[in-house]
Amino acid sequence: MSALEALDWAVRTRVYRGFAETGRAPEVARIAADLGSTEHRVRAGLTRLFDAHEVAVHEDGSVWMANPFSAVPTDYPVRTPHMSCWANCAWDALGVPAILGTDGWTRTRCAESGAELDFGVEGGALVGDDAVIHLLTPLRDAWVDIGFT
Amino acid sequence: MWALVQPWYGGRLDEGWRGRSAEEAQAILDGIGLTGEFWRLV
Repeated sequence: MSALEALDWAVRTRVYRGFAETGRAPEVARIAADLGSTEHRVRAGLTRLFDAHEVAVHEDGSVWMANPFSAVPTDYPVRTPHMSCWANCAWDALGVPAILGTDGWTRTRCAESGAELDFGVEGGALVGDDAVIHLLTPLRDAWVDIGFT
Repeated sequence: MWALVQPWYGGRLDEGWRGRSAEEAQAILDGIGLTGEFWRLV
């Protein structure tokens, strides 16, 4: 973990804060401006954060995921009291209220049956439909192909 | 799952977050009884 530089951690903080406040990933140019840095340095930092499994990036260098948040639409939209966002998976749909310390609700469909599912967290407790989350990838391999995971 | 997700994502918004070692992550999993091979990190 210590291989990351101070700027890298600042970039990570800015990415997570952007997701938490707006539900969307901040653009590289925005991160650079906020940190008084350059897009080149921010992109290099994001690459190092990807290698450290802190943030996932697209091939163009933009932010893809900061778990539990996704920069692109997924089957797991999450509504919170102050913003809406996308989570990467069912696990992360619960991760959003967990990381924010807020309520959060997700409406999706069962990947197996197609049935509608509503679930979430209210007042620190699970609410909604009962369901089984099927995890396919052993945890140690999660970042081998984080998109599949 | 909620019992896992809370400690898993707890603290990740903190400015002082500096990552989590495999051993620390394993302790979270072990602590809630996820001890099978699927959950082994170390």
